Amino acid sequence: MKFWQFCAIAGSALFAASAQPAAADDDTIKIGVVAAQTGAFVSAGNTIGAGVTLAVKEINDAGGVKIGGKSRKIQLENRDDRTDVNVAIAAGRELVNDIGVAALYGTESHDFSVSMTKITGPAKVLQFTGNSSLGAILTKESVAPGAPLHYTFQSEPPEFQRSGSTARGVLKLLGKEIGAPLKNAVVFVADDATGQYLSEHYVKALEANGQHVDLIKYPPNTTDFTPLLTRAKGLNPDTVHFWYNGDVTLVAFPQAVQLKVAKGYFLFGVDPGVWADRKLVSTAPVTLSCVPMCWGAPPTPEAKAYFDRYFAAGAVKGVQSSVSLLYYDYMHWYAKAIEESGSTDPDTVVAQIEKMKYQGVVSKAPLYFDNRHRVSFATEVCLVKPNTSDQFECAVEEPPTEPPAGDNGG
Amino acid sequence: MSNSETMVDTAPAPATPESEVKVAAGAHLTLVERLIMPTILIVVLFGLPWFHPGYRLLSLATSTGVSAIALYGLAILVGQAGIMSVGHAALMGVGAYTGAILSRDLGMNLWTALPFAAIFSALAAGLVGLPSLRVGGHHFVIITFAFCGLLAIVLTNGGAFTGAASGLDIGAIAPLFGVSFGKLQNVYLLVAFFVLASIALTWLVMVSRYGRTLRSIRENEKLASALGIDVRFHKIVAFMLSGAFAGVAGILQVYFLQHISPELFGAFPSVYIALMVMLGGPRMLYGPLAGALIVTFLPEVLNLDPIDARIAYGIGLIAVILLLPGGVMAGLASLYRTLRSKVARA
Amino acid sequence: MEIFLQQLVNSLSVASVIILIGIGITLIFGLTGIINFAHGEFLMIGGMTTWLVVSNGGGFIIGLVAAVLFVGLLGFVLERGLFRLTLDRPMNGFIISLGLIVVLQHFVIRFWNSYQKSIPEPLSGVWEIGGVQIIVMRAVVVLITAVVVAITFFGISRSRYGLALRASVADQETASLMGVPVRRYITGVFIYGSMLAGLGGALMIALFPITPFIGSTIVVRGFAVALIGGLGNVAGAVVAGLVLGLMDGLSAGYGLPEWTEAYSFALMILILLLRPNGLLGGTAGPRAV
Repeated sequence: MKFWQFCAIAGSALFAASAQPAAADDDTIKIGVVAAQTGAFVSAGNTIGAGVTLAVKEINDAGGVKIGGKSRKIQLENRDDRTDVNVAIAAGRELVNDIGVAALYGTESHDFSVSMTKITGPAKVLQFTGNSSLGAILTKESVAPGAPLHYTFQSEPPEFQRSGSTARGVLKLLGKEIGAPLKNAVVFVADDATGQYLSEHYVKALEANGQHVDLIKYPPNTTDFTPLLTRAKGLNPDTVHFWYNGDVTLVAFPQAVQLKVAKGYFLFGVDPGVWADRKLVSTAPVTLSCVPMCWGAPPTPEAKAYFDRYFAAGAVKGVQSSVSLLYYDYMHWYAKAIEESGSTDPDTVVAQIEKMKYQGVVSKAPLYFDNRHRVSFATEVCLVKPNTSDQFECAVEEPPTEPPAGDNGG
Repeated sequence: MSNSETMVDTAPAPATPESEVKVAAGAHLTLVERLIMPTILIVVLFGLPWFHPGYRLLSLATSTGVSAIALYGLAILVGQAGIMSVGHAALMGVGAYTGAILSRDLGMNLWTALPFAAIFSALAAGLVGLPSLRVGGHHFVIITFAFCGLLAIVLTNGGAFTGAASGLDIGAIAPLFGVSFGKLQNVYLLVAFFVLASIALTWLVMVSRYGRTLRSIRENEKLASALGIDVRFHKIVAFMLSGAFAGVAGILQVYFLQHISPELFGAFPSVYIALMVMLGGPRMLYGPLAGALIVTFLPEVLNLDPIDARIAYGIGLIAVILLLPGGVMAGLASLYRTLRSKVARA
Repeated sequence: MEIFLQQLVNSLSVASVIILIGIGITLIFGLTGIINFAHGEFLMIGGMTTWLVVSNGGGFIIGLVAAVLFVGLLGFVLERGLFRLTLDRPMNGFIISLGLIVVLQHFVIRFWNSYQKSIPEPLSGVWEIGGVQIIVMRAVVVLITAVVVAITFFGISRSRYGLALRASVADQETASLMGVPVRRYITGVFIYGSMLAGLGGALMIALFPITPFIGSTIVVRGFAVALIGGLGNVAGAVVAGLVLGLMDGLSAGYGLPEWTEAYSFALMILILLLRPNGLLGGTAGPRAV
């Protein structure tokens, strides 16, 4: 044997040895999470892994998933995407093609989620993914059996419903507190994928509730909002609505109060718990909302029990901690779908999920996916009593069933 | 052209661009030594899928390859012409959006759109390069950075034409000569082919008279110009060549991810492209490839707790650049030379 | 009219934080040739230091002083330990600063998580003058910036040290032959610039909450200010900071807000093309490769 032949054989043997695919293990069901544990999305990303981890632990502690008299444990694989699409895709490839997960949770960023569906779809891996802007590509046709998004489920409601539910709650609570009819609204939203997508629907929802709305899109890196807020003040708004990025909202909001921009405010995605933790106070009435329920003011005993367990497991109390609840529910739901259909075959499980109504913690009414694989639930909105940091009045308004005029539904 | 040769020949020996290119291209080595690297490269590059590396590694290798193509373009600019740019992600963006828009509006596939991506990126690069005729050094670096930031904002607010902040979706790579690209392995091999082509093209530039012209501009612009070299023309040509590489990388990226959005092409991805080139060694033939590998795989190798891994990665980066200031490949090359002369003497 | 006046007041306070960062960068970049992209992280560390002090019961003033001293010390250690080794290859210094961004950011995240940090406003209260809201804390920030600018300006242009410093920028070898300890001056400038970043961080967290990721957005603006004004030129940085602040204010107030950043990028390209040495002129800066 020549030297180079030896090298080639030795080299390939070494490679083959180092890359042995994990032995198939029939006793476990493998589940993957891809989300940002480092990088700029980390505050949203951490919650996905934490919610799924909690659910998996509960399922396994109760003996596992029962199929035909046999119990199978769930094996969770958590991957950090470092807020980098190439790392996210590699992690997705690994989980789907190397490890062979049956379902994937994440990611939370629009781009990553869309690119990921191109991996999960052909491999028939169920993907439960955040980011409501996915609504634009989930259609009756694209989720049909055999179509590319048949295995993709959107974890947040169609935007017209979330916007509608939120707008109703905000206007009801603020109207009562201000004690005068509300007419003019200014909506602030980041000029990025999620912001551009969300704002259309929220503007329509406010208009459907009798508001005249001006929209201000700010560059995503804005730190000093005073120029934009002063512009808003020139529009004489009754209410100012900050949408979607809780962290940025908490930067902008105090500046708005100092400039006396409006009579009342709404901060999307800022949990009353964060408000209380940081001992924030406001002289003007302010409403907060959570996706989907607030850990600082849980509306049901089930939600309260969930958040107690969630934080006891070591999760950080952040602006978006409540999002974890969604993924917690979807993990339990998925396990239940396997038990009820008695199979882990992806087509069977998807068919089961499509016809199921699942009573989770997220909402009082059972959850179900519509014919575009979107779920529906209400959003909790809480009013902070002026000059207090721990007195809240909350409302959970049901979402509208039909989109308002001029809204394509999302 | 002969003028530039004269100039180069009279320059002081240790720092001449010619001795540098000999080292970089391995001209002082024996034939066998010169063939070692290309052989290893071709075997590893094209043999990788047969070693069953797993999808994670193959996927990372594919995205590394895509960046490497753009890095080779930048290396011609930085290493040969001596012009630093931190706007290369924007040029990739031009290629990527060209591919996506041609596919959406004209139904073109990767193969038919590829030349357009290269051409449009080259034109954009020529445009970005124009200020370099007037402004030098760091000022120009910051201008390229600003161009990049500007492009990302234009794409974000480009409405339906650019898909705004959500970006654009694109189908898979069309089959070519009966080869389907449904499997990741074939996408990887395609990218590997383009990486090899970029390296070959860079080598051609380095050893050609054109490379000599660029290096004489890098070493002393005024002298080169006094010797009759059309400095302005050659700078723009270098930019356009560099841009064409970025355009090819861009269109491959969009077909690999099957979705693109403006933030992939903003200012910070650009900074990372510059980082990879400097880390690997901009004047070395295998420098850009080494830079891409280090930046992509170092965090994977250090797969500790995600946050600790990031800290270790940053420290590793600092250590590499402190210990090997000419880039990793330049350091390895000089190590090899030292060992070789010791062995020869013994 | 009120709205317009309010926008002018806003611009002044937007400008002051940019100016503080810009001066630090213009001095370090222009006078020592070090391209420190981690300067924004220095600011973030300053803010986090203040946050740590205040949340552990210290007052804001103590927090501010701690931030200035700590970031100054950090600058000293990093200049001596890292940047000094790259003075002849500024592009390598740039890469080291990129490595530092990753290290400093994740060091903070490692020990104090990645969530937003805020402190109670050190001075609450808003003056209302003719319908224009003047936020007291912002007025204080503007005042502090003005004082710092004045001190720096006279330090550079009037004092003996400033003269020696400028001499060593013009011609390092001659200056060192004439007995100017050039290396020590470089360290000194680096420390001073770092302290300004620390101060900027302390003032920033007094105005709004910050995350460990704040650095990158700030540093881009700082470099814009330094280059538009002219490298090493303190007065230039002030003018550039005011121009950018004003442009931010007016474009956000009257233009299309989503294009705000584009305006400042475009302005930067234009000015660098038309006046390569900045509005008020400055050092040419070192070579790029």
